[in-house]
Amino acid sequence: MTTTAPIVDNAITEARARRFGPLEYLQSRGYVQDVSDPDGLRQAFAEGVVTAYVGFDPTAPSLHVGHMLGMMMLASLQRFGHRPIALGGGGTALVGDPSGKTSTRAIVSEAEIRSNLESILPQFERYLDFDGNRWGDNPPAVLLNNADWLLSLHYIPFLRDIGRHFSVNEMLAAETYRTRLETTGLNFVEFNYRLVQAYDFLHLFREEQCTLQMGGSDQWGNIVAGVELIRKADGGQAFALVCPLLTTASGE
Amino acid sequence: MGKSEGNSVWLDPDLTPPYDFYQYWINVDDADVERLLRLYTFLPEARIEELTSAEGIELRKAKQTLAREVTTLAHGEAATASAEAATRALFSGAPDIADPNIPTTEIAANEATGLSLADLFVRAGLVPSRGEARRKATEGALWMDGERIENVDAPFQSGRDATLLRFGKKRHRRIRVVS
Repeated sequence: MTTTAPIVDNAITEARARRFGPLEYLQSRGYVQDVSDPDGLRQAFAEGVVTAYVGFDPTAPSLHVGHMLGMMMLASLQRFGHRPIALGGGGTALVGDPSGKTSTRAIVSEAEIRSNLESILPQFERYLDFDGNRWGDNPPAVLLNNADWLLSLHYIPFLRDIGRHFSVNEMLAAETYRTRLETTGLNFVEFNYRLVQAYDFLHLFREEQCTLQMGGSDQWGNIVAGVELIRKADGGQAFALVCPLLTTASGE
Repeated sequence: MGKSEGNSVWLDPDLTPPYDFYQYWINVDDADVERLLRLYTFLPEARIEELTSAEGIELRKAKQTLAREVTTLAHGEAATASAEAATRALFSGAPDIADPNIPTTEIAANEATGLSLADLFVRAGLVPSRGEARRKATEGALWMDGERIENVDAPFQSGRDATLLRFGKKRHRRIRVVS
């Protein structure tokens, strides 16, 4: 067994020397399955600091290997000087995302989710810099919990301001919802999941100047719904980027 | 992605010891190494190409590098060095059961008497339940001190200082009985 010291950050140095921006880097490393407006996103990266977020499901007290792609994408952007937000889905976990699931998810208590987020933070700290300037002039990363804005929402204003931007016809045509309609049926709570996640993106766009959401390819519909909501509600420009869902050669 | 013999691979070292985490990465399929190096490490392209130009057994070095880089990111350098040392101790022909880096479960002497071998595997965190231990033993996947376990209901004989449990080819746990 060899004992060369670990070289952790060289890929970014190498990419910069090749005049790669963050998008070219993510593409060259295999993270990008789909991106909503590559030219617009490339330009945004070139013009200044981009704030980007990935949502994490906090229904367990630890992250697992399946979360690491999202962490690596955020970690890569921060090493290019951009600003990552790791968003714990404390509010959305109380709703339950139907994406890729054939049955309704177990609902976890709010207290349990808060305690999970606390134990997950040190795991993020190994990938992200929450103080800033560890890799030159990168801004600090941020860990947020969407329970902090979702739980205080009022139903009527939400319907009036957010619900009116969504077409039920379009939503029912989406694969996620169609599959559920044809098999086990779709609970109204789950049907609202897309609006709630789209609202997260709008909230982060307004409060944190966040213009990019990343995730696994099963999240494409939810993420694009957020991009659309930002455009319709605020006339803003935002981007969606998804990575492939990994299966290994052995299928696990 | 992210399962090892049916168990989730966690980032919390109490749920998945860094040794098990390291084993997960060093045992990836040949066909996956290159892609995983790009996605889960910050190694430069040139290095990845060099490592993955080999085939078959020569890919071992690429897998060692993958395991080292990913474990270092997730758990730090000390935990990685320890996982590497444990791997050397356990996979070098005759396992060195005294190596301090082998992941260990301690069981109090008064508790150890009365445990079945199935209980022991559950206590070590290698299987989630006694039923699962029974099924895995039927498949011939449970080993103790180099011998395949036939009867999981047999009592654990806690006479020795240390006992080495193995599940499948790569998951090990040392049992120490302490007074």
